[in-house]
Amino acid sequence: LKQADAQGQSLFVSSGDNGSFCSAIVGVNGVPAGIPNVEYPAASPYAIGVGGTSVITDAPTEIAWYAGGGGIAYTEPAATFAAGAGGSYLGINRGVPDVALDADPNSGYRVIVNGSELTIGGTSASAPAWQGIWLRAQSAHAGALGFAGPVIYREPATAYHDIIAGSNGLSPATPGYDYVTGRGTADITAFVNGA
Amino acid sequence: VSANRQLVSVSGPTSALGAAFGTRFERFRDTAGRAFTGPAGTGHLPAAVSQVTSSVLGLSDLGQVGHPIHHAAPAAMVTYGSSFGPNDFARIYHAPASATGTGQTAAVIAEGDLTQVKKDLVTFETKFGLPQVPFTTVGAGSADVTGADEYDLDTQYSTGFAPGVSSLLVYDGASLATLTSPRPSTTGSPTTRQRRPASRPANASSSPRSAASPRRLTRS
Repeated sequence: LKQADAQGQSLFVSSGDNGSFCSAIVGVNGVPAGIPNVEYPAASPYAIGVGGTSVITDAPTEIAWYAGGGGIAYTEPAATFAAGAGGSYLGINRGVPDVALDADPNSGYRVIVNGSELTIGGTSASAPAWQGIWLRAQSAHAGALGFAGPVIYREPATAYHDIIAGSNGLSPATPGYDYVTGRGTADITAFVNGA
Repeated sequence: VSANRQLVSVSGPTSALGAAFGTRFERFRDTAGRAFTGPAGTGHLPAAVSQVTSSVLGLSDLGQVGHPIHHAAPAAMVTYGSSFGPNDFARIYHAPASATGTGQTAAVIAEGDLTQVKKDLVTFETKFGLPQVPFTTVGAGSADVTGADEYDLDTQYSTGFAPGVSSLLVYDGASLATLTSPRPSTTGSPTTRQRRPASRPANASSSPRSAASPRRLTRS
């Protein structure tokens, strides 16, 4: 990932679907429970971690998806590009995610699987969607943006819908950066222009 | 030590690994009753090693391959149940008419048999009136189709959010453990963590895979 970063490539990875808790531990009624953890490689400072929201109305009105991954990595150092994240960012080790997008299966993605349409959610969906947003930004800037990390944090606040409601268990959505939706979801036009 | 000298695998009894990381390993049981082994506290690296270590993975055998979540019948209290296609998302998230990804290459890291995934992308593009993005598979893959829904999602929505993208590269390993090389590996590592592909994608998306291989030290 470090080498991909140096080559100007950006890996967008999901932050996981078990809230602030380690995957494979899911408690009663689907409410996450277990050991606080964030998933690798979203926690790598050489990848972009993508969290999840629920789209309540398509205005859009969004809240943090309760099962969207996020938190502070145990072992990864803080990313230098995130130093000015503000909001709830503590600067202790790698904060995940960096950004978010719809990931709730109840406001899910229409996907063709084996020839038929299904509705699917999870940060498995928001991660490739963010790759697409990044490709749009790159295409507007002749592919010269390099690694996405520094760009994501120098974007103006207007490039994002700041998610301020909802929680993934340990981490609430708060004004500015938070450990469940990062800087928030994109206003793609503003994000492309601000990149 | 891996060929690219970025990955160091270490194995030993949990007592020795616990001592090495300044913690101890214990057996736990999750709320579903599954037993697993993991560290009882935060591990620490010796100062001499920590400066050159990017990550330590696989200290628990809890990790599992995560699959995307399919839509379940909404509970009575859920009032926002809906689903969106790529054009809906373009409206919701205010995508511009220009800057659609032209000249850029999308990349997805996958494994297994992608024959149907490639067909599904064409079906998706036709259904939603999107241009057909050239789909190139890099690597030999395998007969496995269990991850196909994941790669359907990755291919359809990396391009669906950037419909003008010029090409889509799908790096196809025999398993997610072998993606450091486009060739299938015979070493049979149990890890499901995805790694950087050997070739050069412009941008890549990867699905949620948690560290699963016990006794694995990683630097990447």
